[in-house]
Amino acid sequence: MAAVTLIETRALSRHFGGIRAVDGVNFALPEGELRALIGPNGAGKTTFVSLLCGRIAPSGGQVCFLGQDVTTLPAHRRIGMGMAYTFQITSVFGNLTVQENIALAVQRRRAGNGRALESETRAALAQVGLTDRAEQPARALSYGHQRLLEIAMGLGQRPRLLILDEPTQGLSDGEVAAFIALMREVARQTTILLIEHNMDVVMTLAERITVMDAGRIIAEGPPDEIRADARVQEAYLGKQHAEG
Amino acid sequence: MTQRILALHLGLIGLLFVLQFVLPPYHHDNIARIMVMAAYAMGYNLMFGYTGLLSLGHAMFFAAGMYGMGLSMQHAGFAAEAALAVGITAGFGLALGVGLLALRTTGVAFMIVTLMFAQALFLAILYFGPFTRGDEGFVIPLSARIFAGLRLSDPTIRYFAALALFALVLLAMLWLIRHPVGRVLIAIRENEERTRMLGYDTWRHKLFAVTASGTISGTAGAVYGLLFGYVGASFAEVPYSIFPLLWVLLGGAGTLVGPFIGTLFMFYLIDLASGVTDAYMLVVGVALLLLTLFAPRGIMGMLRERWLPWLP
Amino acid sequence: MEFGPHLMLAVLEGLVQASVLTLTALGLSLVFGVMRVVNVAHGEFFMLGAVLAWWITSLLGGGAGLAFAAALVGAPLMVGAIAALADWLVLRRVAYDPERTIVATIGLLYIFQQITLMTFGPDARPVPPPFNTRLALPWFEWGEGGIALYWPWGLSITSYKLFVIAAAPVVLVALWLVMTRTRLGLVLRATRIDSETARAFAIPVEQVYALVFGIGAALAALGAVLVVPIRQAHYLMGADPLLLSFIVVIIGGLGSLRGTVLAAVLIGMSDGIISVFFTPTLAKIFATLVVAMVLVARPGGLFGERRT
Repeated sequence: MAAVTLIETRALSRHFGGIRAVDGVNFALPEGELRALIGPNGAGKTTFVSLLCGRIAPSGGQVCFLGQDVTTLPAHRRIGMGMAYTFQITSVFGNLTVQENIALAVQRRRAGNGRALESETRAALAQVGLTDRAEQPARALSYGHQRLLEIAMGLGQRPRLLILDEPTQGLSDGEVAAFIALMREVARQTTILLIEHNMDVVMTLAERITVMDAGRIIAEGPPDEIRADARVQEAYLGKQHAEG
Repeated sequence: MTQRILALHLGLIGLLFVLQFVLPPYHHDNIARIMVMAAYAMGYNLMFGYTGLLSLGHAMFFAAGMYGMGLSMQHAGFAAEAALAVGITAGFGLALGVGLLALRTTGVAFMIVTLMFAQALFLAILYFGPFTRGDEGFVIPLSARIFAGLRLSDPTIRYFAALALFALVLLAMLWLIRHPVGRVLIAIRENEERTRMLGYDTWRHKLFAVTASGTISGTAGAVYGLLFGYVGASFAEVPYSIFPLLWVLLGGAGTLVGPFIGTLFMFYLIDLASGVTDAYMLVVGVALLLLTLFAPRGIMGMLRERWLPWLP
Repeated sequence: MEFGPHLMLAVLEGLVQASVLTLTALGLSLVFGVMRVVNVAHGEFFMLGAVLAWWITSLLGGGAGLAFAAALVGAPLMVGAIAALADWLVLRRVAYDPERTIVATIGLLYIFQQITLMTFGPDARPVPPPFNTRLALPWFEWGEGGIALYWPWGLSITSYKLFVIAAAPVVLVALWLVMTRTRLGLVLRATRIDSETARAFAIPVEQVYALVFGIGAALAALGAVLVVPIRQAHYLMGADPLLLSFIVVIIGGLGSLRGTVLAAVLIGMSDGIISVFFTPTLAKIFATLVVAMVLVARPGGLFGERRT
């Protein structure tokens, strides 16, 4: 593959007390890819991406972004370099309007440019289809719309790398379909790392899939290969079948 | 939308300007004091109402400005202009120092740290009594209260000086909260973690809020001393940290004119109450209780919620 | 006086201080630990305890011993009831939101102060101690024939102060027994650890909170009753105990009872000792700055559990 590696980790670890939430993970994501990160609950996916974007500090190992070691950089500096992170648990500014929420995401790059701020905010609003609700306070939105706002705040940052933590959780079937279409469009300009439980979404969207279990990467490859992988079936799909 | 906001605030300033010519002397003097104290409250509001940082020690910034001004006059013979600059610088320096330290804590610990620093400053004023005249304080002589050739002891000039400070702070606040930096402060109040994950250095923004807030409070303290001619340790005591909190809560935290409305209301509430009883503390106490119980958003906050959603 | 006897005197004064402070700070710490709120009116409960002690003793008159005993029981009970009522009427209704609670208790502070000023008046009033025998204390010196005891002039303590010093350990042990051996203690500990779960186990959390707030205030009042025979009752006397209790609770680690006791002894002793040798103002400046810096460096307190 000729693509440049956008983000890379070496032996990245995070321990909580005696629990190894993330355990020596080596991971690389080439620029332009749409990668899904899957694994059973408690596999360490959210901890792993939190380490990537600097929400929590690692116990050991390295994170490199755009060829630069960012392990010791605080979260806001990494975001400034072009990462964006959308929260698993919806975390919007409830008392501000939808438009103000997105403007806050845009304005970091466009602080001195009112016109660009306005047009990019409007563009992000339109991308997720919330234009009609721009003046509503975010807390008045339905859950599904809040998830979309969360994504729009990610898009408004025009990131090099967009990390989405379970974006379709709690969405209706129609909203999921719209999300898939949106991701296809966004993926043309942006590298995406997607934590997702909905296998249909994963199999439809992802170019490659990384599977985590118990803090380690146990498999990585294109969707077909992952579907056929025995370890993955045992660790993840098997458990789900057992649960269901 | 922008126009009616501008109209409202310029209108308030205009109204206060006109009032100067019609008010009887007693109220004339009151309104001048209220405007300076409202500037103090607006400084407090920047931190508490807009950034979500509750300080219990703001009297230290007010007192730093007041003593910076007064002591440089008293001991170094500075003229009013230079003394005012010293006062503002003192407020700025103290706020920067306190911010650097106190912002390492959050929540309850932050409140207590600010309370402790303020208490230390108050005790220091008492301890260095020979230099600061301790509890008694000192009077700034009439001859020293001349600013750019204007006699600040003259009621009319004093009123306009207070109005100038008030208008300056009000318009600066209006500009700030519409500025991107101000938007980030509001975002921090709403959800600090989210703001950080949008790529903003929340710590530096909070430090800015503390420093700006302390500088405004210090300026108000210095101007108060200059206009009313007295510098005293009581301005550094706990009640003067509580008053701005009270005024801002009453008027509406996180609203622009709230601090002024709150200061005005509280001032006249105590004024009226003291006609009936000398128990002004009771009025303050009951007001605080009623506010927290029934109107946590304050007067302007309630107006904004019910009728005027565009209010900044 | 020479340095040795002087130091011993300072230590004894420090122990008196530490004893009263332990009780007062324990009340604040209990409230913070269980309810997770900061009670700014805590010093006023202390003040109310002292004022009510004066009221009870002057009402009963007669034998100082009996009147004082009545105050020792009555004042904390009354203050506890007032506090529980305040909790029920105010704090419960702001849902124990940390910031609104602080503002509300500031309101209570002013109300209590003003009501006391209007009823009790602006004067400081003494309460006679139930017993007050002056006990001279010996010191030793290296004489020609080895160690010799002598009674330096001024080195003495009253029997009442010894009583105060002994009171804190007794109350502490009683409190400890209640916390570890009774059903009430179990309920308190469960609420302290997780109020949501406690609620799920049918613990009436709101009543528990009112009770805890009452007990916290009663402990402050008890400390105050003990101190009025030494220092007089005055409507502004609540500020110092509030500040010192804050300091103790912070240094001890917010909400940690063991840390609170340790810190109370430490602060009470050093405050007592420092104010014998230095001016009280300088001692207080020093203490407040130390507290601020401790919080800045270790927001969990010196003895508190570290939170990550």
